[in-house]
Amino acid sequence: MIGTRLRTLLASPGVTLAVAVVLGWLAIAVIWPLLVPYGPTAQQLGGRYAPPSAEHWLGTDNLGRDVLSRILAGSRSVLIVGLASTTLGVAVGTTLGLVAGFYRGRVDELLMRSLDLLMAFPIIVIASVILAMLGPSRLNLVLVIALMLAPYNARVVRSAVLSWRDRDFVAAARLRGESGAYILFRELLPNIMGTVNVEFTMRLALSIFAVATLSFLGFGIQPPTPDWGLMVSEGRPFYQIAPWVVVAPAAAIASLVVAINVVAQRLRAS
Amino acid sequence: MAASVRQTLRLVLLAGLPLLLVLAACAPIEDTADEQLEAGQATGATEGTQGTETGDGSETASATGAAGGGGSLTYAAAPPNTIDPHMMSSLGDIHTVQPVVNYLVRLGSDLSLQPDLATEWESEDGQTWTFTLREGVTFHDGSDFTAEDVVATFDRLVDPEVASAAAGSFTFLEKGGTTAVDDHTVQFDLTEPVGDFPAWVTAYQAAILPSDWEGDFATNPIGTGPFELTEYTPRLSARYERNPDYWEEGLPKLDSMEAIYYEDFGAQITAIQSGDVDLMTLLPGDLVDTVPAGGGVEVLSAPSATHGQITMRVDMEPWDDVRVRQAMALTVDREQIVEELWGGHATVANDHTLAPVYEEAEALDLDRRAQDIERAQQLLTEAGHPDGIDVELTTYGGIGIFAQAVAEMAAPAGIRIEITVEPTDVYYQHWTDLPLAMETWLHRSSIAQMPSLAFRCGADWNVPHWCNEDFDALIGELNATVDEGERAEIAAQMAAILHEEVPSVIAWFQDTLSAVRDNVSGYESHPANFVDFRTTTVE
Repeated sequence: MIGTRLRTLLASPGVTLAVAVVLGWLAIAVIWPLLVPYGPTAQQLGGRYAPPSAEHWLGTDNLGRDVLSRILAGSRSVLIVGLASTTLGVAVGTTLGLVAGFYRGRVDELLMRSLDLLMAFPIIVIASVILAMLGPSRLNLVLVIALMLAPYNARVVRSAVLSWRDRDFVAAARLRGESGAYILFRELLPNIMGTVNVEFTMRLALSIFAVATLSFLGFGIQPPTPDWGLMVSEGRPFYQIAPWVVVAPAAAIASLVVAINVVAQRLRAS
Repeated sequence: MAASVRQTLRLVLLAGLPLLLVLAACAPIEDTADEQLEAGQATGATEGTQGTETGDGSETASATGAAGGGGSLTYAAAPPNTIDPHMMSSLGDIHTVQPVVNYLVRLGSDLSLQPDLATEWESEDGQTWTFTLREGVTFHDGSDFTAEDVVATFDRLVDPEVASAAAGSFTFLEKGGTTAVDDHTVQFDLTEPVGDFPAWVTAYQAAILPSDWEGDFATNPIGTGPFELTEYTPRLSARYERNPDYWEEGLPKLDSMEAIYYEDFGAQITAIQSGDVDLMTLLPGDLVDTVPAGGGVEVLSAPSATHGQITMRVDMEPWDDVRVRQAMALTVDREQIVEELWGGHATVANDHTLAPVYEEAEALDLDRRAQDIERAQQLLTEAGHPDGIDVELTTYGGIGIFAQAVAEMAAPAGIRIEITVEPTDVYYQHWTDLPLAMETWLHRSSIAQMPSLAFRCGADWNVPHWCNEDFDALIGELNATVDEGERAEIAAQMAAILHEEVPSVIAWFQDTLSAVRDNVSGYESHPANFVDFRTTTVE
């Protein structure tokens, strides 16, 4: 099953490239300490805004730090926060979607209308308000992004459940006297796992973009921790004289987000 | 089919968003020939009409319309929070209001006190001050400027109900303490002696407004200043016309001005390089590198007492031990910050507020505190922290880069600093509660002002919660002294206490910077970041 799926995934060269990019960033996030030519927070005040050269492949920033090292090291925080928040968000969203879709009636109404309420706010706005109150930390970032992703996920899962809940095997499980939780997670969930996987991948791309955006706005990862969104934000005033400080992290964000999306679309199509 | 088109679009959008962040920082550079042509035509037209207005030859302030023809200036500023002159608190406010108003005393860009609406002032004991006012000055609505206007202005300024930020520093003046002796003489009866009171009345909120002025400066902007505010659009722009009845003969030279507000400095720098604006009222020092030499933009620099403070709560561990605070101060490489981060547009400071720009600083004779990591480690060990300390430093947006540099310098001594950079408004909601904080303090015209705002026992903005009775006594003594030499001696003693006790690390005094295009002349940077466009012209 997984073998066939992998083969369909790798059928197109575009998708193969995307998978390679995602796996590449994942690998870098794990082993960056072995790769970086300089410490990602090591400053060299005498060598600020050095353009790309043999010594600094992607130049240096406003504190003379090596941009390449910061990009490589920054992959870790963006992937950790992205993966953690997506996992949490999809877990919560899927549970809510299963419950709403299976029980229907008042439970469904109450859940879905509350989620609609949450979805009525623009994600980034409400996330920055909450983070301004809680204070910026990695944990809060994960919680807030998960909270923002869950409603969208719940909605998709709920409609997937609707097409399965009236099948005979569900009725059979009910007649056997199985508990609600058993039916939800043992009977229904395995059947909608494909949807959940696609959901997870798509939400991951969104979530990585949200981490970068919130850090860009100053609500996320704090300096001097290397982080792509923060790097774009810190480098922005210097764009005219040192464009590499902004372009490099922006390109890193774009490569990861686009690659994950290509994979997600392929998963959905198959 | 449609679905795949949508998918492609989605991908393009997702890829494009991060790049948009980049593009936001980079506006197109346009040819400015058209705008210059328009400015030139406007200049010609005004010159043509001027001859008819001059010629009464009077030397009094009522000589009008003698000049102009200096063109039309467009300048970039930060958006104001308020343009009620007495309520101003930010640079955007100041840069919008100051062209419209005058003060009793003008603080020159060389920090000298110059006659403005007051021609002379005197006091024998420092407690009762008499100001003689200029005659023949009119407000923009045509009414005459008299002593009543000064009384109304200062009564409003110190009225607790108005809650001007100036009231906090004018602690020695009460409502009713200002009286009109005659039409052109005003007397201030202070509650305690203030030796340099004339320097205090240069406070930017102390703009003289008419006694019958009420309410809203946006709809009713009336001052005596060189320009009239003709149009104000919050967060976007302001327009000014030259005041044809301005009391200084031949001034202002410009015919009109427009202020354009920008939320961030990156956009301002782009605008001045492309010629969209002729002048930037403030160029943050750490961005000075972003203005390339020879690009038609000149950076104007004025040494000032503006400085950054790293404040340490002396009533909390570990900062309650003076040795820990001294250790912190010893980790900072001041020369490197001044040379590299400020690009030389700053002066090394010595953990006190008596900046070299003040005349009183000449008597100062203190050892310079240089970076000494070993000594810092030794002090930490003596204070019971042989393994160093872990501390959190809170600061805000624009000065995050200095916090990061300081954190990196302190680490080798064992002071491990974790930084939180907050939005500015969040920071200032709780800045006086923070154990370790960093903020910028703007230049003050009186040398007593900074110490009494930031270091007097129980002062609202005493961020380190430091209290030293000898120091407070010296503030009182400084205020009560009029003699320059004695004042310098007292100020030096205060500086020595701050240097020894280190409630705050003060590592640099930064220059106030502004930028002009090469078609602008007659403008200077001002230490307190005031704007003075009287002699400015645009080609």
